[in-house]
Amino acid sequence: MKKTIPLIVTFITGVIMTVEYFSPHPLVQHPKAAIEKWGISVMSAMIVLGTLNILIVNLPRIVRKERDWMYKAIMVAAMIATAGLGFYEQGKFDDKGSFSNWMFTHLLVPLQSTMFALLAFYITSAAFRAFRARSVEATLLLAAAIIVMLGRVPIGELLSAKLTGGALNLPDLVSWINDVPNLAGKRAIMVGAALGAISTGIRVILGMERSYLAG
Amino acid sequence: MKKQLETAGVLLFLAAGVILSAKPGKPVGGETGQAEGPARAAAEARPVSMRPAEVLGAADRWNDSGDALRLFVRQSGDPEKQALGVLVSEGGGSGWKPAAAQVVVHRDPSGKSTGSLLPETAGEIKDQITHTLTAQIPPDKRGVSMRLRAVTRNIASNGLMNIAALALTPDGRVAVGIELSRDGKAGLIPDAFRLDASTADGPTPLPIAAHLVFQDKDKAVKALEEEKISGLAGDVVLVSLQAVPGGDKPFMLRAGFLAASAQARDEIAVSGPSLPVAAEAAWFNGLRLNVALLLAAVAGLIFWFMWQAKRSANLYVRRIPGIDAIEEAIGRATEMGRPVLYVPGILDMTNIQTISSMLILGKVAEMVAEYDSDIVAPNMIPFVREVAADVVKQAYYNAGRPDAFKPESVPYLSQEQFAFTAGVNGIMLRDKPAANIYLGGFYAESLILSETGFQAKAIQVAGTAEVTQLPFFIAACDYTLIGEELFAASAYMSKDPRMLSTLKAADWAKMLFIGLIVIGSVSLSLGMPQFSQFFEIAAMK
Repeated sequence: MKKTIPLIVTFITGVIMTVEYFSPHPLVQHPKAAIEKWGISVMSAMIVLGTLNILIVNLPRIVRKERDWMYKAIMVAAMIATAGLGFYEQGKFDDKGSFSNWMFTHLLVPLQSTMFALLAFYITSAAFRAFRARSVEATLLLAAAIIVMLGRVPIGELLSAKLTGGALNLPDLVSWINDVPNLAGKRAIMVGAALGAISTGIRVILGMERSYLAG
Repeated sequence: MKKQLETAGVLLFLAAGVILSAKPGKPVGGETGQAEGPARAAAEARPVSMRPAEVLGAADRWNDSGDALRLFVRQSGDPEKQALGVLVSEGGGSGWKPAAAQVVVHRDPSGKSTGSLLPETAGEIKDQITHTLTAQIPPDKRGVSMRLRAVTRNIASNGLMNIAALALTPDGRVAVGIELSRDGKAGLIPDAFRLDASTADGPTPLPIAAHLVFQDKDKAVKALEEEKISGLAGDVVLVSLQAVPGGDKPFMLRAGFLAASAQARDEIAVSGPSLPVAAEAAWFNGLRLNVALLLAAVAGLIFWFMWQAKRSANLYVRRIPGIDAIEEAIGRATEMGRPVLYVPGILDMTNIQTISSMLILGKVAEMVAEYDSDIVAPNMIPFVREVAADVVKQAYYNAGRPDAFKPESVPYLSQEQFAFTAGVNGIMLRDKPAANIYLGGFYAESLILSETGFQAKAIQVAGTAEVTQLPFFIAACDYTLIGEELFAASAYMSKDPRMLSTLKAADWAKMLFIGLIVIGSVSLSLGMPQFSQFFEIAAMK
């Protein structure tokens, strides 16, 4: 029973959400809209559980002063401060004078930008490894990457025009690489992924996949 | 032999993709660039008066899909050119979208009409208008007495009842689409022009009467001057609409019209009551027939192979090294006495990648429990954390070690993308997991995570269906599950013939798609676009 009811709920929900794409009839659309609303409500309620989880996982470690407890203390303090200010300012987040807004603009945004900026360095190191011509495939990748990178900057266009006397326009070659072989590969992956998603969906709806069920 | 066949299949699939990618874009008259001759002519030719106009036979194509289209017809000075105002309802009842467009229509001597959209409005409604404007004008629909027909078959989930109706005056003067609301909150005309039906002249309106049109000619004229409804109705504006009691049917309609051109604003045509009309909900969106057929074909293949698997468990499924590597990675982590890190992506449970990731997490956690190792599965979405915690807990039960499950091994970190990334990086650098498994939906954090894991010298297995992130994983991880392999992983790891049969079905479905792509490419090249047009996906809701 503990598994049967969730399986029935999964089946009914899965069927409704599949059929609603094809049927605009209210007998289908009304349940679909209701399920979506329930989903939004449940997901919103989960934020409370997430907050509790942060406290339950981290507070004991802070109290016991386990390894790296100070990081956890900073996280919990930041969470409490942010939430507390939000309550204190009664959600006036959009007011530019509010402290919440200040925290967002002067703390969160720069921190996020910093993390995002790390990507530039990581791309460099990953590209360095990926582009080593150790095999035919890696050599092809390297050649394509050089062409695309050169074709994206003005000097690439200038060089290709000078060296080939206008016979080859590097940006055009880049467009062809992106629009034909690259796009073909992408679409092949997307078609495969879509078919995989369909078969996963069917397995879940039919109850063949049950590992997500506890109890 | 099997490997050669696999290689050949992959090459064929890629080749088909190349053909598809190289397919030139379908030119659409007037969609981009300069307006075509007739479109330009119509743009320049402004209406001067409300003249008799022949109504196009658009009604028969209305709402056979659940989506709806309505047309307002007028005749310009040139009898061979007509401009139409068009409103499109998207997705079977999500409300009318005022995607007004001017359309130029040509009629050949046989009465067949073709049209092209003016460029500024063409993009949004290309598909719908193509359907409608190529319809034949049925002779029996010309010049009949005023009546409203072609009732839609759609009652929207938001309570709107779409009544798309074609009105024909004795001289073929107007055609009009109307939307009514059960609760008086219809949205055809902007709020500024909505009047209470109780002010209507004539018979007492029904409660469901239209609140959506002008009852006041001056307001209509003002709206026209402010161009708030330009393009909505050509030079014919609906200024009055009443619902009148209609026998055993819900209601009848009476409509009044105003010529929109400055020279003819005093010219008002008021219709007689319509025949009774009623709304009827559609069961099937015909525009999505192609998707339904393909889905049915794929589902049919899956059920066929499941039935085959039931009869004979001897199913060959190719090796997927990335999935085999997961067990290897867990074994390595166990040997080193370090935990396994499992990141289920940053998307919500509504995403199929996350669902698939949860299914794999169950298998991974079970293996970890059997090996008496540790798992850390940080989450970005609170909902996903709850599911993940249940999955891991159940896996420990299945492995016979429920006592070993630690709830803190499935922590929630943050709902901010990069805060979550920083948290996971911290786990990698402090706890030094020996195996990092990233399976699910990832975005910009994919490379930050996998490069950090690389620097921490962990064995890394990643998998996602996000095409833009795959190159990063491939560059930084030891093994990568590409697209479909992510969805295949749980079935592959289960070794259950019935589950494996779905993988086989997906492979055959790919062959079907390759066939369709090749046929579509060939037929397009031969100038027969009907086949590929059938598979064009209608606009999403």
